[in-house]
Amino acid sequence: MDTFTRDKWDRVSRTFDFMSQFGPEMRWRPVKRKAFAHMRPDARILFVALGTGLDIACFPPQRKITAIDISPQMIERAKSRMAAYDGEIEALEADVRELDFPDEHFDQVFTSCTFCSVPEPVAGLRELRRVLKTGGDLYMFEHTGSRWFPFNVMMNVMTPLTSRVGPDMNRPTTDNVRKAGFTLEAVDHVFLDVVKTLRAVK
Amino acid sequence: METRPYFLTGDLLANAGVGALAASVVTWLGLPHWPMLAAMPVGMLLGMIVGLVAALAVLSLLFGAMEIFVTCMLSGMLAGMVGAMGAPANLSPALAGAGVGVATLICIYAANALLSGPQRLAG
Repeated sequence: MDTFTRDKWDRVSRTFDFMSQFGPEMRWRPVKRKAFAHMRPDARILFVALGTGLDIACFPPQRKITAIDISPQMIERAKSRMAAYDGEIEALEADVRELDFPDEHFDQVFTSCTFCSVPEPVAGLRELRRVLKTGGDLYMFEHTGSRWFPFNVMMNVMTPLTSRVGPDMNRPTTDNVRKAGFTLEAVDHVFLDVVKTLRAVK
Repeated sequence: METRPYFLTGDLLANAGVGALAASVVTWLGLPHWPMLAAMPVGMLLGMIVGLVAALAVLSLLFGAMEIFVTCMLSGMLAGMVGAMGAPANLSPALAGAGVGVATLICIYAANALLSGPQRLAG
């Protein structure tokens, strides 16, 4: 277990809702709802980085979801939102790079602003690929770096500051998905080429 | 593209405000009296910091994350540069900075119209 990352997000959990639940969440909610609408009723679903459970409001009802987060404090704060969900959510403390699930265990994997924060993101994505069934789907809602000037310069300037208190701003997540062995099926830019949804298959 | 009035208004106010603040700060620090080659990069850096701090402290809580960080940092950077060069004689630095902020936002909206949407995948 990566205790440095776990402790960082345990600390962030105290202010996470204050920072995220109004402006950012309201702005992104329609896009997240559209992405998570792909959760199939019959699927075994893994949701990565549950956080304080803000994303649960965007889940379709009556799904059976296994959610993981590296921070026990985040999971603790998510409990009331999990209890209010019209479906089943099991939350587990786990590092996405070292999952205890067997190979080919899940039909679908979903992430939401996750791989801006995972150290060694390709290793994390490879582990998701391992636990995903062949032909299974990976759906991601992520913010990434930009390939366009001046946005790329600004994201690089911001990252040393933001990574101390939260996520990196310049991750090449689309490339990382390919590096991990997934086949990219769709990339949809939401804001510039910075906020996006991705769909990939194993 | 964003179409909700709350966020459109928020983007407008945030960028105008950051632009006004950035230009005012660099003017208050006396950058318009510096040699222009030194004043411009320092004004850009200070303006970007003003945009980042304003976004982190207040604006992102109200109006969104990356959509606010990116636009406000760029607005601050350009307004800081313009402020450091000295606002036109008939405009206050704050007003000139606010104008730069709004113009920057319009340009970013135009860039967003070009870059957003489904992407064609190579390979």
